[in-house]
Amino acid sequence: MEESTSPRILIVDDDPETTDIICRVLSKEGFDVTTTVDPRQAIEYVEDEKFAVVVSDIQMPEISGHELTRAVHDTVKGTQVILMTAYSTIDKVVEAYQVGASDYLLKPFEDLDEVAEAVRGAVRRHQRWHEALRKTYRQSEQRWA
Amino acid sequence: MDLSDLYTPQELAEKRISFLERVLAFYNEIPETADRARTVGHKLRGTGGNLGLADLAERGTALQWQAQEGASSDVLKGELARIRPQIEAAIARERAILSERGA
Repeated sequence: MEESTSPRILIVDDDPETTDIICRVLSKEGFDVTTTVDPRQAIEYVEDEKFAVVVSDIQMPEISGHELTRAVHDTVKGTQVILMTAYSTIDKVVEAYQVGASDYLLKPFEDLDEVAEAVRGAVRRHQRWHEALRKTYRQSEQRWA
Repeated sequence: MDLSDLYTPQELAEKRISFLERVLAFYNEIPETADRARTVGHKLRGTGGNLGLADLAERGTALQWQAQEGASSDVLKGELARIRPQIEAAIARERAILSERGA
C-alpha cells in the first residue's frame, strides 16, 4: 500500500458527530485523518503511528484531553496537540497550555475554517520542530566528524 | 466552509437526530440533577452548536452556566424539563426533512 505524504491528523472526541464534522473539514483540506471517540484508543494510535497533530476534546469519559495531551508528549516528541471544549474558563485555557497544548478551540466553532486554520498552523509548527531537529543532528554529526 | 459543504440535507438530518436522541438518553442515564444539567447543557452547546442547532445551543449554554454557578436542583430540573420538548420538536423537524426527501 502506498504511504500517504499528507500530514496525518488524529481527531478525538466522545461525540461522533464532532469527529465527523472535523474529519470532513480536514479531509477537504487534503489532510490524512483518523478519528476515534475513545481516548484510550487514541493513545494506542499515537503509540503505533506518527501523527503531526492531535485534535482532542477536553471533557471525555475516563481520560480527559489534558491527560491525553500528557500521554501524547510522553510517547512522541513534536506532535502538536490542539484541545477543544464547550466548557471554557480561564483556568481550563491555562491548564491546556500548561500540559503542552499548542492551541485551543472553543465549541461551537465560530466558523469551520477556524478549525482548518488551527490545524494548518499546528502542522507548520510540527514541520518546524522536525526541521530544527534535523539541523541539530547535522550540526552534531559535523562536530564529531 | 459551512455544514452544507460537508453534508447533504439528509445526512445532516440523520446526524442531528442521532445526536439529539443521545442527549435525550442522558435524561434517564444520569441520575444526579446537576451532572445531568451540566452534561445536557455541555452537549447542546458544543456539538449542538456545531450541528447548526443554534436555539438549542443557546439553551444549552444557559443551562451549563446555571449548573456551573450552582443553581438549585429545582431550578435545573425546571430548565431541563423546558428544554426536553424543544429537543423532541427538533427531532420531529429533522424526521420530517427525512420523510420529505423520501429517506
